[in-house]
Amino acid sequence: MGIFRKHITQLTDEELMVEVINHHSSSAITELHRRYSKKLLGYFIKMLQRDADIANDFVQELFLRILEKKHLYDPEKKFYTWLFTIASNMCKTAYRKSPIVALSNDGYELQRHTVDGDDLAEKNHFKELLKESLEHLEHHHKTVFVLRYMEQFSLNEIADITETSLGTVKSRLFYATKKMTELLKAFDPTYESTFFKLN
Amino acid sequence: MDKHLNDNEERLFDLVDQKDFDQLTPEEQAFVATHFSEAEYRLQRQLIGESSTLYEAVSEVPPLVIPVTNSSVFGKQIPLYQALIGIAATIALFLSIWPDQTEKTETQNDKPALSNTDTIIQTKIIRDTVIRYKNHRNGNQLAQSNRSDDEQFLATQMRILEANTLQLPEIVNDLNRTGGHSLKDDPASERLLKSTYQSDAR
Repeated sequence: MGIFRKHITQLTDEELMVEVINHHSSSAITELHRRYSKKLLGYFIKMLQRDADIANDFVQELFLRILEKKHLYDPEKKFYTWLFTIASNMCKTAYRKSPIVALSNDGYELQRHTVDGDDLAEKNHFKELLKESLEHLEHHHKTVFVLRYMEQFSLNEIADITETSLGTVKSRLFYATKKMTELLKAFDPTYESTFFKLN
Repeated sequence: MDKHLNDNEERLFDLVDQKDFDQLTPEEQAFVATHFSEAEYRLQRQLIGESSTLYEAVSEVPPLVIPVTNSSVFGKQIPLYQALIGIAATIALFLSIWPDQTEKTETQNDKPALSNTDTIIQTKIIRDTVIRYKNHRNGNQLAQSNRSDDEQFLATQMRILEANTLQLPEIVNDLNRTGGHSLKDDPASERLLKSTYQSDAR
């Protein structure tokens, strides 16, 4: 029967999870780690104030949790969504234990570098301000913003991951975007009129 | 608590989420203009667009380290609740086959009154020394029941013994009390006693 068996890399995420659940397969969990560890590491870095070391620890811990809590997985649901639900909850727990403090409050340091320059410098400056304003969001606003506009999840998937309704997700995204726009303008008032250069 | 969007806000969100300002129809542009300036709308779109490339892709992730677990039975892991049930069943089996060594005691209801103290001192005297006195005469009389030739010799011996025996009447009587054949009815014993008394009289 072995010759008819699919290679581990050909199995879907959900089939791999069944292997993990039924046979405690280390090769299956290693394959899942290979598929998603980079994406998860990126998510944790964005959520944990760019701390790569802590993010690496979180990725490791997350896959160990999957092994521990494998009986909680519902094979009818998408593994990818379940994975990010655990990741999101880990970030929420970490935030409650030690709320992340924004790097700066008035954006003065960043604003000083807003000098006349080429478009690339302007874009880099804009990205730095964007990162800065992201850190100023409330945790639940930041979570939906990262999931939607950085990890490209659909609104329904975000509702599943954050275990909220679609209306709540839309509301959080609406106010998160609005808040970031206000912060960008506060950091650099020139964006009120000069952002057209960025396009 | 999250404030839910009204219809206008939800429509506005859908537009910002999906369309650039230039992609909006004139009617949509007019609707947007009632809430945002064109510049603000474009800034929001710019913010969303730049966010997807805000962070560089992660190049390397350390390999997964799976700890070796020893909590398995014959190479197969069992859930915690099954392990607990197994332990409980073993204890129950052990208790069921273990003999009950506790004496049956009075229940609380059977007691006439409850003591105010919680310590009860019980004194128990154990007599562990038993003194038995052997009745030599009785033993000799039994021996005489089966023979008659040695009467004289025995009579002499008995006299010596009686002279050296401390008489404890009650104990002697108890020891003499037999449940079987009475020496009174034994002719050999009677003769022995008579000869004994006669020799004493002399």
